[in-house]
Amino acid sequence: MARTAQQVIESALKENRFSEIALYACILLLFLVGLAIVLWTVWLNQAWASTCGPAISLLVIPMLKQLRDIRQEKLKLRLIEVPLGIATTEKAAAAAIVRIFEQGLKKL
Amino acid sequence: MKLFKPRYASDVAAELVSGLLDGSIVLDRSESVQVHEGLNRRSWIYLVAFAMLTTLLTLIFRIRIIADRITIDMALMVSAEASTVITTYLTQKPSEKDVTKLSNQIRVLSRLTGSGSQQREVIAAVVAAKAVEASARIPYTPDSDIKNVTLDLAGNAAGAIFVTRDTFISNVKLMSSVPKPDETGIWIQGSPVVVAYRVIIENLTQNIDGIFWYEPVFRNCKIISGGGPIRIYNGTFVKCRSDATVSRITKLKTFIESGSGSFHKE
Repeated sequence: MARTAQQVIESALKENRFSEIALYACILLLFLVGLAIVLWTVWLNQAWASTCGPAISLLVIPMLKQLRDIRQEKLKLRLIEVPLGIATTEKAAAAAIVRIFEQGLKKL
Repeated sequence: MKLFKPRYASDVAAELVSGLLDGSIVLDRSESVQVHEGLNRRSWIYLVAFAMLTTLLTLIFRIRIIADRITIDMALMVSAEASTVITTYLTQKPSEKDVTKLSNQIRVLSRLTGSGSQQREVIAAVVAAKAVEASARIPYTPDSDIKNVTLDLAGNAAGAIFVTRDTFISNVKLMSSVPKPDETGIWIQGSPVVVAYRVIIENLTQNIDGIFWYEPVFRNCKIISGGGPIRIYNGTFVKCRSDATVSRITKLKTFIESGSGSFHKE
């Protein structure tokens, strides 16, 4: 049985959703660990060790970049639905996707 | 390197295009372009997150106010707290855990502002704590700058111990085999912090202010005072006499005559 275009998009979105949630969790965890280290070292009066906290928190930067990429892909996937809704035939829909993708979505 | 590889829109588009052309993917005619509920849901999430953040910031602000208030209260308590800490250090055998805990407590106390006499007490606590901390891992004998000596002043002309810097004196016996009431036991110049722990002074004159005394024993001594702060914890006075400098201080003469106990005067 042939799948619908909507199902294909939804399944791609579902895959991305897991990565997004996992990245959010990792970012939050690293941030909290960094904060905890800073507070702990301040409590122990170990000024030099408190630099480890921000250092650990800096690890979230590549994760934030990746998160931004995932969100961008999510947006693109949603935008693909627009030509699919307008097109009346499969061929026209395919042509619209190609055209829109080449012209507009690359810039996103 | 990417931790989580996303499903790229370009890949999905390619799959859709090829699927639509070869017929493996069809258009669902019943579906139309719709605004997804996700957008509204996301707005709610942002709203709740904003509310939580605001609450958190308010709480942090409140905690800061409470912390400031605690600091002020703590500053007022420095005197009593420092005395307790010193006493704990000097009268008990602390475990390593206790030493760490009390050291942290002293560090917190030493950061607080207080009056001059309060600061002196905190410094005294630090001096005593450092000495005990150094000796906590060996059988309990408080380490000190001057310790475990007996000095006979019968042949000396000046004070037995002349102190010009912060000093911890422990288990020292200062005496004169011949009564020499004009000789001073511990002589202080300037205003160093001096902690005297289990010091015995015999047949000498001793100025008791400016020193933190812990379990001192004065025998047949002449006690004088320069009017400074006096701290005596569990002291013993045997056949001691005092002069007019002591009489001027309320209850000090009575205390010396009583023979033993603790005395505290700012």
